[in-house]
Amino acid sequence: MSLIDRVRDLDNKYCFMNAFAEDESNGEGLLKGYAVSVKDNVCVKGVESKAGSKILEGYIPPFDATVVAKSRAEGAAIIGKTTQDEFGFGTFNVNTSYKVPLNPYDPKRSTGGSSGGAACLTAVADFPHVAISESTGGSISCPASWCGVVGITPTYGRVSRWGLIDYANSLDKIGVMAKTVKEAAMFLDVISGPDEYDSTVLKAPVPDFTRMNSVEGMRIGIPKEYLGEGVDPKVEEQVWGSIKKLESMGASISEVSLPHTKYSLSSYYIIAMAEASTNLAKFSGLRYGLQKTIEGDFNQYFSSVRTEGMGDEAKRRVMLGTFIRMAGYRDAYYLKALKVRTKVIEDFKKAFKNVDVLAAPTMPVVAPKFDEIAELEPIQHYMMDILTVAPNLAGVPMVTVPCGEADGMPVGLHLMADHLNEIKALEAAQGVKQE
Amino acid sequence: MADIAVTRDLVGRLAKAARLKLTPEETGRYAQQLSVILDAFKELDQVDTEGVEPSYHPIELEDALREDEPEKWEWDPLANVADAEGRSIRGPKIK
Repeated sequence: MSLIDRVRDLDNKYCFMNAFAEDESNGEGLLKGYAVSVKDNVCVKGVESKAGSKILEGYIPPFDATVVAKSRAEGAAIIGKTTQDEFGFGTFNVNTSYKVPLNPYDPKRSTGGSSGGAACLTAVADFPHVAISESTGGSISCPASWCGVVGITPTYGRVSRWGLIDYANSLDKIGVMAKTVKEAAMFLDVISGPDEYDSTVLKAPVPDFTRMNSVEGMRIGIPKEYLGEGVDPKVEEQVWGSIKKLESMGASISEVSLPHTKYSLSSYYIIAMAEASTNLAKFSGLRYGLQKTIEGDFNQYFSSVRTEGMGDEAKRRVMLGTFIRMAGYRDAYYLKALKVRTKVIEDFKKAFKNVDVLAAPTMPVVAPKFDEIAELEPIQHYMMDILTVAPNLAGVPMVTVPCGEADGMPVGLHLMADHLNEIKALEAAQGVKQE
Repeated sequence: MADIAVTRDLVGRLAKAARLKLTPEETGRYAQQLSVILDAFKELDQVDTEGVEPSYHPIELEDALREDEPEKWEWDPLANVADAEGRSIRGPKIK
């Protein structure tokens, strides 16, 4: 059976692909023999790339995103586009007009989002595979932890965003998922580094992420705000188990405080919605994606296309973002949120003066069932991100690594490090997984 | 942040600015949901940000400008246009 036929077989069962690529070529390089899947919001030349949105239906990029081009240059076979929440707007991968992926551990449960398809495929692939995914507020960590795989969200600016269909430019980070820490680290090496097409890529040298040391002597901080109320005790038990394991391997454990954690959710959503509403302004039914027979003046035509092409959550965020940026409210909401973000970043900087890595549960609960999700109000969806938004706001790197199961579902340990210190989080992850 | 009354009228204005058309049912539902969300955002008022600089980015970025030289793109920016005439795109009337 060919690789693509195998992927199609698995997709029939788990629903993780939005489009297939017929590229089975495999050249020389670090990714020789690897299949690489690409989140739907990252452009692949010649393959429909719609970020899970009807408004981009039919869009065939005439170019590869930098991360895709770098993967090909290392011999990867690009196999297609994985499902996601529309533009990344979601935590459960249910906010889309397309496929809703099923959790490999229990098909009645969510994979998590927004990179749900990437996490699902990474978990079920029975061939060498790594996934290009993307996080704005937790879209790599959440699904990776709920599907029991490794996910790396690198430092903001470590990886080029050229060819990414933006959600929020000051928050978006392209990252990776894999079954093992080593494969994830190797893949991060491939896609990191400067790119003349993205001026926000950091000039800092890229270390060899696969050269991980042991955790002996590592200082690990446990942020007290990330445990206790709101976290399922069964999840917490697994998290503590893995922290104790790292301690037994020679790491030192101490409690730290990130006092602005509580406010990170509001700060994050205000900034993300403001940026999303400006980014989505360009989708107007001309030039690419959904294009209809032109009727009426430009306002009527744009409104008609956008109304048909955007889903419920996209409309909600665009309207909230529009409000946040309105004259008279901008300072109270947007500017205030940016100042609170400074406080959140300071929390992390202060903590990293005394510890190398912060460890916490990736998500407060295991993957919920679809019928439970259907009962939630929009604000309850947002609240599910409470443990992932702060490090995403601060742009610090984070790795989620499987650390046990609760109620038969995987639990992730979240390891966060200072800007550009991915290697520290990877070393701790390697210690937990003991590959 | 002041108390915001998210009326149907306000939702209508936001939808118009964002080029979206809403049904009366949607307008009512969004008014209720937006009201709950904006109310939750008010918690930021509890944070003292006097003298704090805003962070537009999470990390200090350096300017990165390339040499000002023309570059030929290999791909056609009109490749996805459904309704083109020659090298022009057909669009709606301005008025």
